[in-house]
Amino acid sequence: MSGSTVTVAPHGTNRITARAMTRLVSAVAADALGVRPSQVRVDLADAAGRLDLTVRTPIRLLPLDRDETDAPADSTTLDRTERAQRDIRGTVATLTGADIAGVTVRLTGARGRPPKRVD
Amino acid sequence: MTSITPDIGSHGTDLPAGTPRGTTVINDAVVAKVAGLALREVTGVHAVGGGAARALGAIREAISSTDHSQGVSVTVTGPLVAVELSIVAEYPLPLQQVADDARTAIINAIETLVGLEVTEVNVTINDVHLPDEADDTGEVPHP
Repeated sequence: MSGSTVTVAPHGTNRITARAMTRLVSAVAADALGVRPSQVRVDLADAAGRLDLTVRTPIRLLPLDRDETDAPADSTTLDRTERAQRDIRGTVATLTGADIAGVTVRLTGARGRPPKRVD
Repeated sequence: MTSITPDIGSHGTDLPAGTPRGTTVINDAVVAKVAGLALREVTGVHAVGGGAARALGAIREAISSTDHSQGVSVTVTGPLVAVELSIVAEYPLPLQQVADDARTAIINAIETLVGLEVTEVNVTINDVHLPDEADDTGEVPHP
């Protein structure tokens, strides 16, 4: 299949299709930014044999009325996005073993309602 | 289809050494089924087969005629087996680990249960299953 990532193992190869890679990246990005995986658009590109990711996603804003003392130092939207970008890069590399050239995060919107959590 | 000629001449009673007393034939479908069943115990393998195979598999399962070799394709050449495998992995497990575990399980099952030697197992991860999403609808289940 075109666009798949292939790794050679001792007795055969491991192939990750573009669909599997896209879904995994959207799940990682959704976790990092507090949105649903279905709201995240992922583009995979080849950068001289390495994997280049572009993620288009909304971000979940922190509540404005939160207690200032709880707020982490880097809680601006830009800081959170940069942290998410690093998280995506690290987690995707760990989970897939892919050699990642770069991750571009484009925020396409903002959500205010806190996520519903089961736990 | 492959045939194995068991070497029983050494402890056969009346026959001269090396004379076989029949042949054992193991059909490819048996090898594929053994491989498919071995996958059920592998952590991180959510489903086996491509999209069309899984859709057909859901129907087969509903009428209780599950195809255990779904998503597994074997090529037997003499005593050697090559396996092609297509799976859906569970998020968030490392995909290489899931693929390697699936390969190990299949090699163990075929080499111990069938007695053929596995030359290679090529694993394709064709999708990732996200626990938050109800199957393929994209909806988040309500708490």
